[in-house]
Amino acid sequence: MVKNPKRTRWGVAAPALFFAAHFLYVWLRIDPRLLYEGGMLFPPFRTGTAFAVETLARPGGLAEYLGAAGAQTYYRGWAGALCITTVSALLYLLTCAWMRALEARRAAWAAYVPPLLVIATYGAYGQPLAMLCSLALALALALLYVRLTRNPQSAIRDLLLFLLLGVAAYAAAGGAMILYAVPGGLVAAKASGHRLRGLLYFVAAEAIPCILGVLWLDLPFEQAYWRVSALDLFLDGRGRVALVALTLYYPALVAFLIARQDGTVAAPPAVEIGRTGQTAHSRPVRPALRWVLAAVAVAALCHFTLDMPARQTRQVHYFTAQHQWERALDVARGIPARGYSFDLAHNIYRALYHSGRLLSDLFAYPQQSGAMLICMPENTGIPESISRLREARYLDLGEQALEFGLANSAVEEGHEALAVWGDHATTLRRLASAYIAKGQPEAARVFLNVLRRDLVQGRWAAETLARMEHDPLLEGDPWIREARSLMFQRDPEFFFSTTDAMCSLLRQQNPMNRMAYEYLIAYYLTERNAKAVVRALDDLDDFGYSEMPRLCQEAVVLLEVSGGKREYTGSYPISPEAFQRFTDFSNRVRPLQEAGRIDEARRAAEADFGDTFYFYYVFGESGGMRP
Amino acid sequence: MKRGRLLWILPALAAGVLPGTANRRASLANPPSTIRASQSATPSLHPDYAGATIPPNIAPLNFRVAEPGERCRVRVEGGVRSLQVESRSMKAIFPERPWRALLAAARGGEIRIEVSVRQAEGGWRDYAPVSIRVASDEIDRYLAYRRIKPLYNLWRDVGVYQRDLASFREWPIIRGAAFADGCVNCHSFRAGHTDAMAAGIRGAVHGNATVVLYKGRLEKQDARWGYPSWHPDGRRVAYSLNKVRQFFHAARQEPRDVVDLDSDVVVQDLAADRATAAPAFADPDRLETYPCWASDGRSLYFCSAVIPWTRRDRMPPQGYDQLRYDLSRARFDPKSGTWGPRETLLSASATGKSILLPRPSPDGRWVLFCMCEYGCFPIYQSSSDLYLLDLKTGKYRALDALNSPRSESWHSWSSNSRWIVYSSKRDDGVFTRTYIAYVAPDGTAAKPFILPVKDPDFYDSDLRTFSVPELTVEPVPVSARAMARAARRPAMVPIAMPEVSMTRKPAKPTAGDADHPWQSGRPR
Repeated sequence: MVKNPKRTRWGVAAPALFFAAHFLYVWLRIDPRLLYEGGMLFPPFRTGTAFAVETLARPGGLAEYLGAAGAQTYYRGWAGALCITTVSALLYLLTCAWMRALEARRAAWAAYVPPLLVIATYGAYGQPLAMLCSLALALALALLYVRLTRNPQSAIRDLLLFLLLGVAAYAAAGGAMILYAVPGGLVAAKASGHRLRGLLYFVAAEAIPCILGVLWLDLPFEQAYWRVSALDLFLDGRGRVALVALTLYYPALVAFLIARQDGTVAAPPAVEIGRTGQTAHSRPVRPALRWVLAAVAVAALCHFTLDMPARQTRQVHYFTAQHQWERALDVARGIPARGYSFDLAHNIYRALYHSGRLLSDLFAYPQQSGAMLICMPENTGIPESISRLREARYLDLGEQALEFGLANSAVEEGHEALAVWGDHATTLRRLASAYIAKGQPEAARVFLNVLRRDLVQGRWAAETLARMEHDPLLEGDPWIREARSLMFQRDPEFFFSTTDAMCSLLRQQNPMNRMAYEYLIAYYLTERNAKAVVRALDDLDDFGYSEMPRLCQEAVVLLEVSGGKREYTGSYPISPEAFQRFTDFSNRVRPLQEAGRIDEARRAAEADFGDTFYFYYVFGESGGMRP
Repeated sequence: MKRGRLLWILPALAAGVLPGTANRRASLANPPSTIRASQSATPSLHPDYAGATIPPNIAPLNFRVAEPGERCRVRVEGGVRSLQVESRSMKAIFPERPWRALLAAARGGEIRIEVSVRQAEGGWRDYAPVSIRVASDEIDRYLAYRRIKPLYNLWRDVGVYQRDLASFREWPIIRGAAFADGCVNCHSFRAGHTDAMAAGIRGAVHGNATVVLYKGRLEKQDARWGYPSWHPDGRRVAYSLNKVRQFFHAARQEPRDVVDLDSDVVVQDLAADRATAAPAFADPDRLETYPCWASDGRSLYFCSAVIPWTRRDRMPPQGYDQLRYDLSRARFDPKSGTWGPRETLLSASATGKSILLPRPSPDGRWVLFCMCEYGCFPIYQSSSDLYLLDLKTGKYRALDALNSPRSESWHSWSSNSRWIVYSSKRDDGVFTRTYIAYVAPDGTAAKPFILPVKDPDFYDSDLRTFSVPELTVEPVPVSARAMARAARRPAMVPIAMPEVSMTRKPAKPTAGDADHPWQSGRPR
């Protein structure tokens, strides 16, 4: 048969175009950087033999190792996109290879399904790289078996080879064994012509996790069978539906192709993307139109599988971690109240504080009483599972605790995170910083030595260790110096468990603890305690504010109007706009309130006054709480 | 993990992934012939083994030469034997068999370590030799310890492991991962023998219980014991019952602190599945804890303190930092099973410190204990140091050679009373490491050394602690799998408990108690 050079060129160009678009979509739309700051489920990775040996010793260890190594590329968006696209391309090539092995040269579109499911998985902002690697490894080993037994010799030899590769598949891919067992069994059944033999192969392959995992390695049953697979509950569950679909796709595809070869299933009409001519069976659809339809379908899939709320939340986390406070706040403006979580709220507080807007724009974001209990997050009332709260807490409060001056809390959060979620670079870095701030450089060195083997943070760790050679306590580091100046030097008289107690004690330790001061006032504001706000304003001078923050002015006005006299005796002027806003708010709300139409009053004032203390004081929540 | 490693039938695949290790050569070779510079100061070794006394049956003391240079050459001489290694990574990794031969030749004498370092500018620099004394007395060959990341409230991947001290082989006794990520703690053995042993387990799935190996059978007992000690007869076990609470300090270097709101000691008779108590160690007005049998089984040592607070619901209780324990003892007649009154061997008022963890030596001459400023949990007290009480003279003294400005505690004797292992935070104040020290017949202690590991840099980046080291003369006879199976059993053997203040007023279980090691009040 003479190959058509135009068709061959197009056969290369079509996937190249597809994966170029795949790369750009993942890079620019999904943005792998958001996955790097994706919380405690991000897989840690260390260079060197110790981590490799420990990881590879587990079933599926190679997939985990490769997945963890690849995930580090997310730190740079383009590199992460390249990594994800490479995995997609690998799955594409494996599908093509399987189709060639089963002599299915038509329906090339089938090879594009796995990359699309990969996009759908990543659109949910999970951490599926290890699972994708395990799929690829299991498929590759099953394919190897098919290739090696293309010319059947003895049944015993084939079975032994199947078992041998099955052990390798289990060691490398763990719970993705089904992708080895089912295709392998089907091919064995087809080659021998005996369905029973196929069943025997399948059972033999599926017995490997039981023998090696349960009986030999003493793993719990579910761990032995599901490790590093779509059913592995220890891995991130986001995007699991697409992953399960991807896992089941290959056995279904192989079964279908074999059935078609046997004539059990009729061959479908040839629809080969990229073919310029028509086949004998194809309907007369124009190639261009076919391409347009395919592109529309792909665009629709991308659109509907991209989890926008998750994306926004992760953007806030990412920008907060990068200390890009204004960008974090910009993104947060688009998140509705129902999308709020404990960690999101705390990141927004932090961003507001660091951008100098905490006491001006606190109520520009969904806010309700009791949500600002930074000491006892379990009591926030935000409906989240304990595990999620714990995850959030360790992720976000560690650094904030140090900023507050709560070094021991930072240490505690860090160690809890370390125990439960593993040796994450973020956790190690925060623990090292906390121990340096606490004046325990030897302890910090242990964490830095581990972190030195991190692909991303390793350089920072090595540089910090080098600096510590000459300056063990990093006295020259302004951030550490600041944290140290705010820390408790001795235990307070009583143990605190509320935000106001904590902030007050921190200010007793260091009256210039601005974060404690602003959070204390913010806490009083959220508690609608205008008197306490005004009392706290006596210290406003100490911090050199150019003017009194807007919400504080509104507290002063509210107290003055309701009490008939000005309680605030400080030197900062109250702007006429603050009084005017009160008058306008009052005019808008009072008539409806007096008529008992509270909801109507709320709606009437929400657009113009939803970010004011007046609105919050009257309705107990900021505007935007009810979508 | 060994089995997991064997899982790999494609070692070449792994070899392709892993970075290579530095070139090393080891030989029983001739002395180096290219030394140039003169001998000067002793080299800095990491870990620091210089001047230590080691057992003749210890694994190779691998170390890194912490001196500037491109390559090191280390020659070790002992008796008529010598051993030489050379390394570009500056790590001296000794092969096990020649090392054993070397120690055998040097038994009762010393080994001499000569270090030469090749300088960046060329030429070799010789350092003054370092000596290590090799004792005649062997240490018990096996060491059991718990590996866990520093524990606050949550845990994962907890395990009790045993280590062959003559090699680097380590394998699990029981791992929490094998029973739904449960916690395992307070492992104990019958006077250094593993035919009778116990380990406490905790977990949300398989409950709180004690796994006991007795007469060759593993049992899961329906009891949440505290600190255990086996009677030498292997039939009785003394346990503490502790109402433990954890709280946190805002300023101290060690944030964690622990207080026993109440505690008693009971003695379980394994033949009868019941526990009994005596007024000597279950006084309702006192806290009693850390029981430990004397090697003859005729006395029980424990710590005891008057409860200073009246409100037992306040956390932390008032005066928690004034609570100090006495070292007490009660005589026991094994034949009749009767107890004598509580005797105070050493009072906190006399020492000004809290006396904890008494461990009588197997030869009956000494009691090793630790003392700290206050309280019942020495591992969280940087003031905790080791002391030795001479039972002949009644005098005690600090073991200065073993102590550091940081916490020393959780000590265990070898069966010949010549070696102790203990936990120390001396290196960084956070991670407890196991140290080994020789104790001469007159009670003087030699310079301790850290438990040797294959990679000299291991401890620099190990995030798990080694806690509660216990020496044993033999390995545990049951597999980790059998232990885990016992831990997973739904049925538990009920234990009849005596009526003491701890059992009369059981702590109310709170939400989350099952997965919290302490019922933390979480004040900070």
